Amino acid sequence: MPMTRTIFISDNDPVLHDALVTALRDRNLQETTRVRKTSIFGLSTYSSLMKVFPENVMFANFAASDIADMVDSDFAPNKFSYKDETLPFVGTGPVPFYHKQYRIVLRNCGVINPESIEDYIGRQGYKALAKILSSMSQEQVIEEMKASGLRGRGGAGFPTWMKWNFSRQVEAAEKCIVCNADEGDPGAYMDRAVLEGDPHSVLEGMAIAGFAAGAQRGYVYCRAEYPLAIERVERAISDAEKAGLLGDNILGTGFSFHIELRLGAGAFVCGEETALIASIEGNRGMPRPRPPFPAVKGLWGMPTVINNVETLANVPYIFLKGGAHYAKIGTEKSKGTKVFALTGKVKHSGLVEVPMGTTLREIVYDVGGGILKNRKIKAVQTGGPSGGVIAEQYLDTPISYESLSELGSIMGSGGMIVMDETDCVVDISKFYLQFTVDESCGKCSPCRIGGVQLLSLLNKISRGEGENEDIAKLKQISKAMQVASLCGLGQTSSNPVVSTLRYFADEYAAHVDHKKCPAGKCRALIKFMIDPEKCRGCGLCARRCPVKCITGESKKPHVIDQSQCIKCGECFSACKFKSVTRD
Amino acid sequence: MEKFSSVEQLLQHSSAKKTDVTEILVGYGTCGIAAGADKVYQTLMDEVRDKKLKNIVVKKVGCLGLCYSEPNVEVLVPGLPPVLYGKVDSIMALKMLDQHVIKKRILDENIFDKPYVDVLER
Amino acid sequence: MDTATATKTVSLKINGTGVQVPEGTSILEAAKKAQVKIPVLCTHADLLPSGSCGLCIVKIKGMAKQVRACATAVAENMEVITHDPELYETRRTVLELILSNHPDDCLRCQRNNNCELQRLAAEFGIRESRFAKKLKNLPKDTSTTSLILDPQKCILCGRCVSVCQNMQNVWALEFIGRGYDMRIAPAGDIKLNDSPCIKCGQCSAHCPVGAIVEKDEVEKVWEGLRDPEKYPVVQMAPAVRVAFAEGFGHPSGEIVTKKMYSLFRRLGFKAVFDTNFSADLTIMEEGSEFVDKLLNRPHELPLITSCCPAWVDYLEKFYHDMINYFSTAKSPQEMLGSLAKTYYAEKMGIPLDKVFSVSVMPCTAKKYEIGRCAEMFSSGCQDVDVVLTTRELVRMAKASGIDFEALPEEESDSILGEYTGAGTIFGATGGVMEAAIRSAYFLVTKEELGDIEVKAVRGLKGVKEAEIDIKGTKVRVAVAHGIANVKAVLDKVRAARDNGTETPWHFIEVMACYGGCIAGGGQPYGVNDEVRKQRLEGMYKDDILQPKRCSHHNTEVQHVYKEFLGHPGSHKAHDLLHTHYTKRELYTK
Repeated sequence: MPMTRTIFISDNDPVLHDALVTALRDRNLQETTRVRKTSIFGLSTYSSLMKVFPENVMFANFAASDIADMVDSDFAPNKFSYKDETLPFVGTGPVPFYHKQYRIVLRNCGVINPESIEDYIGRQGYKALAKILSSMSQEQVIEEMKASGLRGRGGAGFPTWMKWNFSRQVEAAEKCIVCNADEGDPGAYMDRAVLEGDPHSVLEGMAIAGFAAGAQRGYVYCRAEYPLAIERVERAISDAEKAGLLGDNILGTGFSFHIELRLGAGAFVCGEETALIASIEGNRGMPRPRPPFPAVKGLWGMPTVINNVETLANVPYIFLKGGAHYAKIGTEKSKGTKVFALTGKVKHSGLVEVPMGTTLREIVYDVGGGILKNRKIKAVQTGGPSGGVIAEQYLDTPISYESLSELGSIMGSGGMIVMDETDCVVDISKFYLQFTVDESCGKCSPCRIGGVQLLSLLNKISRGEGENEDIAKLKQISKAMQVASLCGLGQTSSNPVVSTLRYFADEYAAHVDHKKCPAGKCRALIKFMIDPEKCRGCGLCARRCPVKCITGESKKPHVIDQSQCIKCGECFSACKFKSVTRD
Repeated sequence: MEKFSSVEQLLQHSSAKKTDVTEILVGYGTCGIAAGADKVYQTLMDEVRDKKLKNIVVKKVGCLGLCYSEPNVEVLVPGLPPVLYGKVDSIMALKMLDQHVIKKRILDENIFDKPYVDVLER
Repeated sequence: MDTATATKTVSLKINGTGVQVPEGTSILEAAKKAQVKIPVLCTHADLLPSGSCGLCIVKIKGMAKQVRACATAVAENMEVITHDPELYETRRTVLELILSNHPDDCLRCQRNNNCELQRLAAEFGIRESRFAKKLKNLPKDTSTTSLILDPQKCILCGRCVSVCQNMQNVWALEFIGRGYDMRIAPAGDIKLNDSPCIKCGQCSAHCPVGAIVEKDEVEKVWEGLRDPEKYPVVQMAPAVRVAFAEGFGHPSGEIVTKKMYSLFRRLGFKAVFDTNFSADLTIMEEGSEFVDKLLNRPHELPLITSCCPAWVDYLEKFYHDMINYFSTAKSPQEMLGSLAKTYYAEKMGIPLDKVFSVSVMPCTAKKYEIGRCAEMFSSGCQDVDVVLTTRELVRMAKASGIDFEALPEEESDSILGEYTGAGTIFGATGGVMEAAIRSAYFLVTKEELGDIEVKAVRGLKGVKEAEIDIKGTKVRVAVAHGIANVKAVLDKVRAARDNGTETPWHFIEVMACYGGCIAGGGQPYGVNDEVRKQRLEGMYKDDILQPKRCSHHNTEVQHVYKEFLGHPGSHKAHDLLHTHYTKRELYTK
C-alpha cells in the first residue's frame, strides 16, 4: 500500500506523538501514513505543532485528545489549523543541529550585528558591567564567579575566580587583564567566531575581570591571521570608549578600564601564557618557567590575569543570570557550556555549544548528524595537538574536564575532530606531531628534539620500517616530553601518540609486526590489486590512473603494474564492480 | 550612539525592536565570507534598495555555527517562525526575498534548521 | 642571584635531609647544601634560569607536575626528591635526545675534556645512541677575529644569548628560527662581525659545549716560534697569572707569575715581558692625562678608561657621542707591543719586522684590538702579532710536554718586565681606578698617598663609587663592570653634559666583563662569583707581594721615559702610546 500522507509532529511532547500513532493505528491508517518527529518548527510559543502533507496544513495548540478528531476529519482545516497555508514549514531534510545546543557564549553570534554596539546593548549588553560597578564589591564579584563554577576554557580548566582572586590579592600599582585570542589549534575556530560575532561580550567580560582583579588595563592578544576579528574588536573598543563603557570613569562610577589590541606574529606557542606575555612585551615568543605565575608577576611584571575569549564571553551572562543559575548547567565539577568546533568526518560540521555533560555521541550523531557516508566511527579527537583520541567505545562518556582527561585526552580549547574507519592512527599522530614540531618554539630540548624524534619514528613505522623497540622508544620519548618540557605545548604534544597507543595498540602492531595499515592510509603498506574474477575490463580504472600503470584489453581483466603504482587509490574508488582490492 | 554617563542611563536605555520589521541576517564571519556571504549580502541590499522595499533590514551578523552550509541566512519575518537557510547564493537570495519575505511563502526545500532557543529568554 | 637580598631563612627537606637556605634560593642551590648535585646544562650561576635543558627536573611532595630545580624557589617545609629511578630515566632520555642532536666528534672538539655535555654523558654512562642521529648542516661563523660560532654543536641552552643581552647589553646574539630549526645567530641572520658584537667572549666563557669558542691561534704561535728568522717575545696580562693554573687543576686565584715566565722561555720565547709593566706605563700616560684635565680643563671631564678593547668597541658603537671623554691612552697590551718593536728592538739591535710579538690575555677582544686602527701599527708594522687567550696557552703548555707543576720560578726580562702592585691589579674591576688614584695623588700633590688601598672601588658590586680627597680637591670616581652596568653611569654623565650641569664623576673605569679581566672571556671555564672572588683575591695578594705598589715607582717605566719617551704625554709618547676612536655602526650589513 503506497504511502499517501506524511505527518510531521513536534517532538517536544512524546504524548502527542503517541496519541497520533495510536489514532492512526486504530483507524488502520498506519500503513499509508508516515509519522515523523521533528524539532524544526521554530515556534516555541506553540505548545504543539503538526504539519500534514500533501495537504500542507499546519495545526497548532491542540491537545492529545484532539488528535482523534483531526484524523477523523481527514485533517480538514479546523480550529487548530492556520488559514495561511504558507505558514510554518516542514522541510524534507531537516537537521536538528541546534536542538541539543545551549548557546551562552554564542548567544549573540548570528543574532546581532557585531559592528553595532547598539545591537549589543539591545541584548542586555554592558548591563552586567553596569550592575557590578553600581552595586557590587570586588569580593562579591569573585564570590559570584566562584558560585558559577566557571573554569578556563582555554584548555586547562583552572577556576576563573581563583585567577582573578590571585591577582586581586597581589599588591601592585598596576595590574592588567589579557584576553588570549591566539587561537591556534588545527580545526579550532571558536574564539574567532566569538570575536567576529560578538566582540563586545569579550570586552565586557574583560572589564568585569578588571574590576574584580583591580586592573585598569587590558590587552586583547589576537592572532594576526584573524583580520576580520581584529577589525571588529578594534571597532568595538572604539565604540565602547565613545559610549563611555570603556575608558576613564566608566558610567560615572570612577572605575577606569582601557583595552588595547595586540597582534600575534603567527606562533602557536604564544597561546601559552608566558610566551604570550613575552610576545606582547615585544620579545621573542618563548615560554619561561613558572612560577612566578602571571597572576602574580606577568606582563611587564604586573599581576596579570590571562583569560581565554570563550571564558570571558561567559562572564556577562553569569552576572545577568546569576552564578547559581549558571552553575545549574553542566556537571558537578564542570559547569556551564562548552563550544566545540566539530569537524572531520561528520556530516554537519560547525560550531557547537553544548552543556557540559553532553556525551560525545550526542554531539557527533545528534548535533553533527553522524558520520559522512554513514561509515563507522573510529574515534573522536579533542583538545587539538595537545589532546588525544577517544575511542568509539567511550563515546557515551559525558563531557567534562575530568572525564576527558581520564580518557587520556583533554578538553582543550574546543577542537573536536571526528575520525572514521578510514583514518589511520599512525597517520593521525603524524599529523599532530608535524604540527607541534613546526610550532615548537625550540627553547627546551625535550620538546625541540623529542618531537622530531617521535615524528621520525612515526614516519618510519608508516613506511613499514618499524621495529619492535620503536614502540617502546615512542613511549619513552613521550614520557620524557610530558615530564621535562618547559611549557604546556611540549608537555602535551606527545598526547596524540600516547592516546592512540593506548586505544589502538593493535593498529600500531599491525604496522610494525605485519607491515599492514588496516585503515589503508599508509601508502607504503598498501597494495592495490585487480581481482580478475570480478574485473569486467571496462577500462575506467586505467583511464583514471594518473601514472598510467593499469593495462589490459577491453572487456578483459586489467592488471596494475605494482612497480609504477603510486597508491593514490583512484582505481579503488573508480571501479564500479569492486574488483579493485586494497590490501 | 550617545555617551552613557551613568549606570541608570544605560539601564534605562532601550533599543526596542520594531515589531513590524523583517530582519534578514547574513552570517558574515570569515567562514561565511569565504563561502560567498558578501555576494549574498550585496545582492540582498541591492534588491531591497532597487525594489524600494520597506521595513526590511539586511544585517551582517556573526557566524551562525553551521559551517557545512555556509553561507547561512536567517530570515525573521514578523508572524513567521525564524527560518535558517543554508548554502544560499545570489539566486536563492532573490527567491527568498520574493517568496519568503514578500509573499510569506517559506522555501521548504532550502531550509536547514530552526534557530536555537535564545538563552536570554530561558 | 637574588639570594643576597633575602633575609628570611627557609627550612626544607631534600631527599629527606633537612636544609636551611635563604628565602628565594632555588632548589638547585639548596640541593648543594644537602650534598646533592642536580644535573644541568642551561642554568648558570651568572644568569637567570631559562629552564631550557630539562635535566634538572625534581619532584616536590604534593605537586602533580615535576618542576625545574633551577627555576623553582624553595618554600617552607617543601619536600624535594632530586633523584629516583623515574627521574633518572627521564633525565637520561632527555640527555640522549640532546646527544642525538649533537655531533659525536668530541675527539676533534676544542672543548674535548672540558665540556659539560661530554661530562654528563660520561656520568650517565651513555654507551649507544638509540635515537636517530639528527645533525644540522650549518656553516660556522668565523667572521670575527676573536670567536668561532659553530651552530652544529650548539645545544641551544641559551646561555650565550642571555649573557650577550642581559649581562653585556650588546644584543648581538639572538635565537633565530624556531622549533627544531632554531639556532643562535645575530638578529637578521647576519655574520657576527657585521653585528654589534664587541668580541668580549663572555658567550664562549659561558657556553657549556664547543659551540662558541675563541679563535684558536696556537698554531700561529708555534709557527712564529719555529721560524729561525723571528725573534719571539711574549707578554702576559695581569689576570692571566691568577687563573692559568686552573688549567692544571689548581684552585682559582693561585699566583703563578714566575712559573709562567719560565714556561714562556721553555716554549721558546726569547724575551719574556709582562703586561703589568705597561699597565704601570698606562697609569703614567692616563694618570697624567687625567691630572692635566682635572687641573687645567675640568670641563672636559670625566675621563673614561680605555684599557678594555670590548669596552672600546662598545663605546664606539653605542656611546660614540662620548668619545671625547675617552682616554686616548692605549691599552697596556698595545703599549707594550709598541715598545717591544721600537724601544726594545732598537736597543737590542733587532730589525722590527723580525720581532714576533705574542701576548697572552684573559680576553678574546684583545685578538680584535691588535688590528683595531692605524695606531695599532705604530712601530711600523703590527705591534702585537698574535694574541692567545689563557685557555689557548693552557693547551699549548700541555702540548709542549712541559711539566708545569715542576717548573722553576724565573724572572721576567728587564727593560719591559718590572711591575708594581698597581700594575697587577689592572686585572681586577676597580684596579685601574685604584692604580690611577695612587699615582694621580702623587702627580697632583707630589706627595704619596697614605693608605694606598682604595677599598671602595674593589669587589663585585656592579657600579662602585668613591670620593677621593686630593688635598682639598674632591675627585669623584665611578667603576662599572659588566656592560649592562655601564648604562646607569654613562646615562647620568650624558644627562649632565646635555643639561650643562656638573659631571657626576671625574674619572670612570669600565671593564666589559663582570669582575674585570680576571673573569674575561678568554679565561679558564667555570667562572662564577666564587671563582671571581678567588681570582680577585689573587690579584690583591699579588699587589701586596710587590715591593713597589705605585706605578710611578716603577724603575723600568721611569727608565723608558728617561731614555726613550721623554715625559708622559710627550710627542713620542703620543705617537706610540695613544690612539683615537671613531663612531662605528651597530650593523654593517
